Amino acid sequence: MEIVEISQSDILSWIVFLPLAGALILTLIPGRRLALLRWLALGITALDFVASLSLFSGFVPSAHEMQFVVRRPWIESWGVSYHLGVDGISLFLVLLTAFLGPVVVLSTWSAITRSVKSFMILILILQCGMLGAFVSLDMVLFYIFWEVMLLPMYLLIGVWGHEKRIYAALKFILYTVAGSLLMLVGFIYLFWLGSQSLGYFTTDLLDLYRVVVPYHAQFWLFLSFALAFAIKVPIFPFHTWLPDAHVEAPTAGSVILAAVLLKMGTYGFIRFAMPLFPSASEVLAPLVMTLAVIGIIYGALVAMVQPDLKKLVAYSSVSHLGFVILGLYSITASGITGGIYQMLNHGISTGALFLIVGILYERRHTRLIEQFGGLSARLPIFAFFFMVATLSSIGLPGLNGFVGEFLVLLGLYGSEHPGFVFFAATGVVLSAVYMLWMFRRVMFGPLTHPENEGLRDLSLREVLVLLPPAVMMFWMGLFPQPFLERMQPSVDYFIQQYHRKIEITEVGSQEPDNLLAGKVRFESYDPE
Amino acid sequence: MLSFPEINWNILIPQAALASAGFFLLLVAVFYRGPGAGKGPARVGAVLSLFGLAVSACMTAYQWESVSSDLGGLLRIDPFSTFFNLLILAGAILCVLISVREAGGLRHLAGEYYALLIFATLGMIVMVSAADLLVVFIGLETMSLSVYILVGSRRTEAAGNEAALKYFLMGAFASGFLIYGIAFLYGVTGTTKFELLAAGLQGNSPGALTLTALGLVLVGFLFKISAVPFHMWVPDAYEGAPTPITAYMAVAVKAAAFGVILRLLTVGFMPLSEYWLPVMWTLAVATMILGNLAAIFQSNLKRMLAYSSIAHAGYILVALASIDPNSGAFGDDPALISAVFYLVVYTVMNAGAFAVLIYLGHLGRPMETLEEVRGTGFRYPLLGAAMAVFMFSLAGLPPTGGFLGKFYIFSAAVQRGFVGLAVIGVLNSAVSVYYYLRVTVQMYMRESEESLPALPFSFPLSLTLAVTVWGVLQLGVIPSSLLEAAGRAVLFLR
Repeated sequence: MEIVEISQSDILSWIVFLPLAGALILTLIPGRRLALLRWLALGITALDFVASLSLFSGFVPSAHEMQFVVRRPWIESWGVSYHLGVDGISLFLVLLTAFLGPVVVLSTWSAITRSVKSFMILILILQCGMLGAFVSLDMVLFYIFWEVMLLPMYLLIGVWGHEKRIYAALKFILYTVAGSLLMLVGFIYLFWLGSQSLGYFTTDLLDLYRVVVPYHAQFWLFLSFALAFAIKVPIFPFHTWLPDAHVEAPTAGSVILAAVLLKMGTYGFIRFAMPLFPSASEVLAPLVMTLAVIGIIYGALVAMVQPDLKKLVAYSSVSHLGFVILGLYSITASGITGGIYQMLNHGISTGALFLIVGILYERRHTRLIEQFGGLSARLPIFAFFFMVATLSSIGLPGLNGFVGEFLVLLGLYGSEHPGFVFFAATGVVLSAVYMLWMFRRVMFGPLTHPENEGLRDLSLREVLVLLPPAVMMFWMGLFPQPFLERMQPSVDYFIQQYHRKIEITEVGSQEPDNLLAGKVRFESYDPE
Repeated sequence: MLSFPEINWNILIPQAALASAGFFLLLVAVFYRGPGAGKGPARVGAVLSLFGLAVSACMTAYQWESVSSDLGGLLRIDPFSTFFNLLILAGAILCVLISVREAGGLRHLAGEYYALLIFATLGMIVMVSAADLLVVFIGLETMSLSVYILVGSRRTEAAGNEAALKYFLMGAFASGFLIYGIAFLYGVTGTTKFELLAAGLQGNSPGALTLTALGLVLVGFLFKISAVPFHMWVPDAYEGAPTPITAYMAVAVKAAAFGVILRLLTVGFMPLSEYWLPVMWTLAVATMILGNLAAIFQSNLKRMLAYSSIAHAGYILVALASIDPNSGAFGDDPALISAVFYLVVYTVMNAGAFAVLIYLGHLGRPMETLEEVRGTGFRYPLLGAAMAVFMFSLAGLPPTGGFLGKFYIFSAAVQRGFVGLAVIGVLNSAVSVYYYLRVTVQMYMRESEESLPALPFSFPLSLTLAVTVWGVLQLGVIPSSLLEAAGRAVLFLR
């Protein structure tokens, strides 16, 4: 373990900043050399993915600590450091992000013809921001990456989107910024509490974990953090930006938004909101879980009646991410593992669904379900991939979705709030209803629209776009063990720390002054 | 019998350099009219004033270590004043760089234009090095009178004249308040020197006269920094003035006024802190809210930036409201450091934003409203990217200096227990994201109705943009050295 950390300690910096370096290289290439720009962007993202695989192989499955840690002082007077690391919770999210990079770039080959250079540069900056946010172990660093991903996404939606793109782009960024700025105040307050309790200024997450925040402060701090993340997830009733953003974004934007950006919210819960303020989180758990359940059922019902394919997939995201939240809030090993697994599943299957909708849109310039029907006979290869993605999204055993959903339900059953299992299971049934119904209307039945007769099946490039996600769906469905065993220690550790910190807060809150004076401190996380 | 104090001329070299540069420019303007009154005088003026400013800046930087007071305690040279002098000189240099075309349009008045710019700068550095309210007043008037003229330098344009007149009338009132306040203070304490003021105000609870004096003096400066409710002149003056002068007002004038306020509040008025701290709190809230809300409804970019500069004054007032009156050493007071840091960031990003507007103005048609800048983002990629960086920074989004600046200010507020103030400030920032990003929306997401011609290359503007973009990003990513300098500067307050 020691050897691993020392020998490869800079690999995370490389993974995070390689896309940014690529973006800088792209600025030097003339904008009319489209092929070069596309291949270069593909090469950079693919290289980044290959680099990220070394995380997988070098990761010590039995350890719960942060691995591949990089730590350097940055703004010393405020205790801000450049601190990166991954554990079992963030490892696969990093891999997912790096995995989708080349897929997304390849999918834009024919869809993006205008300002290709700027588009690729923005995708690469976005990639840097997302990877950075997943591996940051310093609050300021995290916040910077968190906001850095907003701007490229905003431009992607606003410039390359569809008719109502500007409205959608502004709505997206205003919702997210409003939430994250309130989180910033919360964080500043935490920073101040931390300096009181620890006796020095620090923004280091592992140091801040050790601060036991008095209960009344936890309540407000949790709300400020949870609001930012809830908007991002999005948890009902903060989801209204999502359908607009998804529908108006170009395909690549929708894929990244659904596959990675939404995970940023759930990741924020498990990395920040819950472990930093566990007592408040515990008290508010029924509220969060109820909202998640409302999201599951509401998202599914609304998805069912959508005439627009993209909107349907967007609402299905609201439903699926409710599942993730339920899993995380079960505070059981299988529930949280399932929640994380479900994040990956949703990233892959919903990403694939958006790619598929994009492929249809490129051919027919419409996304209305009623405009299709009977496509399976015309497009057999396409039908295969569409079917796999649909079944994965539903959670068919043998595909990835099943593993995640099963673990979440199992975990929920053993949690303190087993009643939610019933509602969550309803969501599973409903998702089968709306997905299969949609699939039947699009792919089966008679070919009623003459425009659909001349449709081409997938090109080799499009097969290459859809093949990696499809392979992952089978792989993660059939062989979940390599994934789960790497998550397990970190999740167990998280649960143990969560409960211990609640106890300490209860004891300490009888004399809050002791907490602030640093007399009661949570020592389990050793900063060194 | 008058006795002349020993004068240490060395510490006055920066001021002397500026004064001689100004007079020399006036002389040159009289004798050199250039062939056909073309751009010659403007170029010569720009080079000469840059030279003068650079010499002055070098001499000022040389004083970084020194602490001394001179002219019988009328001036005080310490790292704080040196810091602000450098900031003001940097602002003036940027302003000269973006003025070349504007001054060229003035033809044979270019020399006077630059001379006034230099004199205004001289007034500012006198202001921030002053240790006596009367010296402050002299500096303030030197600055104000020059700027009034500069605002109206396009003599044939009605908007410019209106702006100059409004600014002058309001400014004259503000100066009146200030000198009235100084007189009252003298009446109460028998002195106008900052340090003796503090001693005179110590102890007894202040009477009505003292508080009136405090109020009047503050009004004079709050007017210059465009705090609500003394902001009425800002939108009109900013919109009507030539754009480089607007930038100058937004950047240098504000920095100078804040420099004086910081020193005055922490040195002279510290005994009255329980009276002015709540005032700052209230004004900060009012200024932020009014500036941001009004900016939403502006379609003219200069007017939008005018309201935005009001809003930013509000953010800095948050820092002033968070000053800890009981802390022994100000070097540790995050409020002061954050105010100084924010002023630097603000200077850089605002100068940059105005430079983009001026560059777009080179197209030969007005480029000031949101409709007019449509489609420029992709047509002029570098210019568009620079504007995007400035807008993100003004909105306070990372990884720009604007984000760290706001972060420090709100941290200072939270550390003083003003969580409510920080929340109000943050919500205001969220509002501001809307109107700043609207500029990028227009530049990138909408198409221009008519085709946009190629933009002639301008070296001074490109240089300004390169420096400001670099500055905004550097302050957002590696701010440590500036933070250290700011920390050292505020160490010498009180």
